[in-house]
Amino acid sequence: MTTHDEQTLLDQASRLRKDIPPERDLWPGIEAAIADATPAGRRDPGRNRWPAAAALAATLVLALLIGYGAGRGTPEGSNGATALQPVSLVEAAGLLETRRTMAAEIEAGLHRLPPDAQAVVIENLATIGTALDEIDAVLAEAPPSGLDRQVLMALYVDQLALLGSVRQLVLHSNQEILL
Amino acid sequence: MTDPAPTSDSAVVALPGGSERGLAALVDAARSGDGRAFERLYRQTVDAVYGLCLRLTANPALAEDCVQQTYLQAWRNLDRFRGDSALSTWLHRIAVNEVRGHFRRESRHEVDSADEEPPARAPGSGTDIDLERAIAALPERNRAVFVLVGVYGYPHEEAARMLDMAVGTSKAHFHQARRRLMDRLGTQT
Repeated sequence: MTTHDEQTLLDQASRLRKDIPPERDLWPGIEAAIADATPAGRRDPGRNRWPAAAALAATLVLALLIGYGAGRGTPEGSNGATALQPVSLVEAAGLLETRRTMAAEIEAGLHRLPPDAQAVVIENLATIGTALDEIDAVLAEAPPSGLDRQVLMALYVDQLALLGSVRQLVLHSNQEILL
Repeated sequence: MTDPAPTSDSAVVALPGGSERGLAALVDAARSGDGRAFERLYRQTVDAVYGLCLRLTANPALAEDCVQQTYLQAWRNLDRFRGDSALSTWLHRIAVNEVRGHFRRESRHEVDSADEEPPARAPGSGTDIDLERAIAALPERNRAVFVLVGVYGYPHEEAARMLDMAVGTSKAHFHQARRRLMDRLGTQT
């Protein structure tokens, strides 16, 4: 080919049709994938509230954990902030450790409650535990990114906040717990 | 996946069915969670996205998968689309990422892609079909650069950004692709 042919080739390439319709409608598959990827189904107009909700939930957990850290004591030379250091919205391992520790303390404090209250607490712990396990499984199974991860972490923190509430009630109960 | 948010206004593809302004309104609505708006957005842009995916993959089924993943990622990242570049560029960047991700996952080699059958639905006239087939037969990276620069008109800077390569590398691939195309088409005449 000559130089002229080169230019002809480029001209022809630039004139090629840019838009090619797919042979079938791909939207149903996309819609299903979006639904699968969104834990609470299709996001509604309020979905942008999640970052704020996550922050609020994190604040709740931090507040609970401050009490938690003070209640359990901290290592010599450390302070509350140090004890809370591992707690992070993006560090599931820290949250998992917190969950395990709080669950153990709740279990240890259950004997303070009357039998009826113990049953209620155990039932609620099971519900919270199931929710945490499910969120954990989704996060571990197919690590999501962006907003989905944020939403899942916020849900996890929400459940952890509930667990912290239960812990506080158990440890500081005067045997008049109503859950 | 890397952040698909484009950084420059280098749109070269006119999207059918709506102006960029109209599409921006749909983006705003979809960003608020309006699924119908996102569906309309999809319907107005899918031909442009599928066209690129088909040419990059030279495989209709794979192109469909990449289109689906592109819109899933677009939905997830709508908040990142700031509108300082054209929607078509943004979608194309996501699509290129998806295609590249597929090739990475499949550990595809350029030798393999060079042996692939060209797409069955190469559109256009006879000479266009010859060219489409020749493009489809190019090695993967040659093809990607030529499609983005030669067919879709992206500058090398943008193509290099999309393909995560140096601008000089993009130019080298383009030159190589052009020579291969001329050789192939020349032997057919």
